[in-house]
Amino acid sequence: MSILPAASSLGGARHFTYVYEATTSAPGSVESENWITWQTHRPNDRDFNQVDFRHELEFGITQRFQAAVYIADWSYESEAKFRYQASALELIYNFTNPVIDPVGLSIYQEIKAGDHTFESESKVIAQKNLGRWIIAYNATLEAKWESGDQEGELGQAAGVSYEVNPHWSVGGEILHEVAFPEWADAGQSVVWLGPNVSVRVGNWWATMSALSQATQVDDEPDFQLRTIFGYAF
Amino acid sequence: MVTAGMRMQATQEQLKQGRSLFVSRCIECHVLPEIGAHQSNEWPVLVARMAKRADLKPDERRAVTAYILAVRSQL
Repeated sequence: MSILPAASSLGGARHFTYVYEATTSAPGSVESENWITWQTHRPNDRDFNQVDFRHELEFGITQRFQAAVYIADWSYESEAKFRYQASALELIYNFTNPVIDPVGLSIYQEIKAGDHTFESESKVIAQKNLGRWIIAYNATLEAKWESGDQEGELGQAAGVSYEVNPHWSVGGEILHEVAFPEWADAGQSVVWLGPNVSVRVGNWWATMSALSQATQVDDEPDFQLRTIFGYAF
Repeated sequence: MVTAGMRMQATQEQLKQGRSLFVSRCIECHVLPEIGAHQSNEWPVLVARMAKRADLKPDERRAVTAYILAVRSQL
């Protein structure tokens, strides 16, 4: 049966690494996601290099609701060496379907706590599937408390992905973030954009995005590369 | 009862469940497949192959297959 290899995709695969999709995992499903994000070269620090890691377990609870635990977020920076950052709980509830409804909508809430840090991140996730195209948009509000300082952040992210075949997708992502230190005046807007590619084989999938800074914000990385490996149990 | 392709009978309720599962579970990992892209005799094999990955229970798998075959028979 020549059709079988082309159809042996898997559940819960992501088409983006920075942009979230509105779909949720099937009830009873369990998936492991491992993230690696490399950030490098700030305008004010040419030697800056940091690698962030995330180990996540994702659970489908109902047809519309999924939960995930970030077992550990940690990082390696050339000067600070290895550092545990935080663990988190992530919840996503889906309201509408991106295929049969005019737009697929979900809400997202993440609570993260760690080494002198606490964060709350809320998102509205919109997605539309048009044939082989997936279009997704996220609006994000983030609140952080770290070692006595507090900060808010507004973010937007959008992505487009084209499924070349059931195994491969290619596309692009764009991020826009504005920080509000001490919830006061807005900091500089920073924008990143770049291509992504996603592959799905058997129980595995992997998605990679390479984003360049389109602005000139001194203390933000000029380039970041994120890869997420997923395995469905 | 509705004839859903070769030798398969399905209730309206089963077809409704099959459609709901088809448009939600399949897109967790890939875009919605075109039903006309495969022959009626190929779809039960494909759905069976995908059922584990989509966490479909046996009755859900039958419902998805019935829905696809019902649509395929109209093409």
